[in-house]
Amino acid sequence: MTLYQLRNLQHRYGERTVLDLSALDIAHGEIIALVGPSGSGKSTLLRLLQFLETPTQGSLLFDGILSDHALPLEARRRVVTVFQHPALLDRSVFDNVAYGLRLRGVPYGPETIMAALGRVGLRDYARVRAKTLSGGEAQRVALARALVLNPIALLLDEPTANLDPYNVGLIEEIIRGHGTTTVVLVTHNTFQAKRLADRVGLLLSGKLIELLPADRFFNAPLDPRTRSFINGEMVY
Amino acid sequence: MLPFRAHLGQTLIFSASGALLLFLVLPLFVLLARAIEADLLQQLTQPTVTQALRLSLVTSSLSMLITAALGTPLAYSLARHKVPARSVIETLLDLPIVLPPAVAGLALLLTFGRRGFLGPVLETLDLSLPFTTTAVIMAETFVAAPFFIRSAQVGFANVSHQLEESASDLGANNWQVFRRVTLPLAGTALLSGLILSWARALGEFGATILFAGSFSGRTQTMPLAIYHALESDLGSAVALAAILILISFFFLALLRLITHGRIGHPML
Repeated sequence: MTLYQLRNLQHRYGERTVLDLSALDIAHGEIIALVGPSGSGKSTLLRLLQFLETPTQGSLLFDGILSDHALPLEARRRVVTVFQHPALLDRSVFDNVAYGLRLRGVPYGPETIMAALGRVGLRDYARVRAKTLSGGEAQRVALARALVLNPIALLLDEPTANLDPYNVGLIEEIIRGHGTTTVVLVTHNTFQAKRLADRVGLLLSGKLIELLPADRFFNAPLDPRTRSFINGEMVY
Repeated sequence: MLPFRAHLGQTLIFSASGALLLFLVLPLFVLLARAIEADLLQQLTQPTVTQALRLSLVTSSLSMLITAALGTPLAYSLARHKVPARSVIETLLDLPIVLPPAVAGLALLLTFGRRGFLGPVLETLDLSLPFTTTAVIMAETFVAAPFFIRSAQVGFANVSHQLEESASDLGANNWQVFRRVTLPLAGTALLSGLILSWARALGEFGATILFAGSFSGRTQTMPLAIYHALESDLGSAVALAAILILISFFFLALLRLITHGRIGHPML
């Protein structure tokens, strides 16, 4: 089953084409990692998958529904992104995790929020003011805030950049326990992609060079550019 | 030599600052002292005073409401959307700030007057605007609205797009993003713009007297009433002036309190 189906998709900012994908399918429940240097279009792709922007050209099918020019709130509410720098409300950790549910007008009990906090190991932090958290804790709150919404897709934009190894380990463990949620992970850390993903794709200058199962991507890539990127030889 | 020259320099700075400060503040204190002497509270019961006070408060408040209701979308569009000829629009919006209010009054009269540009249209609608309370509100809005629009525009432009996007990402619809993120974050700028424009409306004189005239109880706001009272009853002029000073002082103090971050932001 395909969750996202992208065909002949182009996205431009003014004159500049930042994304040019002939085809990309993302399956239900898989973890797909997109690697590539900065400016290769990874984050732009996530913005399109989150429906924060509409592609300039081409089609984006989500769960069988075509995303047209009116950014569909219903579709957007089934997907959630965790950014590299989470924007937390200046309230308690509990309120932050409950925010998405409140925006949706969904009734919830404290146990729902506490369970989500439990998943990221922050059950004791419910009453703590979000502003006082460390970078790693803040990112875990952002993950709990995303997971509590039970999204069909979880989009992660460099979720562990600038975090210490302990927090990186914790966050990767949470991602591994994604269940049926589709995970799209954008990273320039190839090791992380190797540790987590079912399939890995390389983006260069807005183009998808290749997308392969993780072991093949790292052991037997077809494109020489993939090999040089993995070996850290890519000049950019 | 040097210490003496430094001493001299300091003395010059102090005396120049002191002289100007005295010049700016002394008249206000003299006026307040005279108001107390003339029994301010007793003057407050005079019908000319109460009428002018009520009219001023009602018209300036209505003008503020109109400015906020129509000015907020305009300021938001100017801050966020691609607006053709933006700099032309912004310059035109700033014009009422620097124009003598009498010019504004004349322009309003020529546009909305009985024989003005829109006169025939208004006549078919059986509307006569000049020399009515509505005209007072129009004159006040005309001169005061740009203060709000400019302040609000800066406020909206400064709201972090990242925070708005995070709210969208968490499932907020466009209205929720605006109400829960953009508006609170721009709130300080909106509020201070509102207070500034309201204070400007409260002090409006030139445009009002030309476009609305000075009819007691109908178009005679406090500044106009002061002007009129000077001819007959200095006591009520002083009382009205004192009230204006006190109200303005109160709101400027409030403004400082707000812009110094006493009213907090809900988001990081």
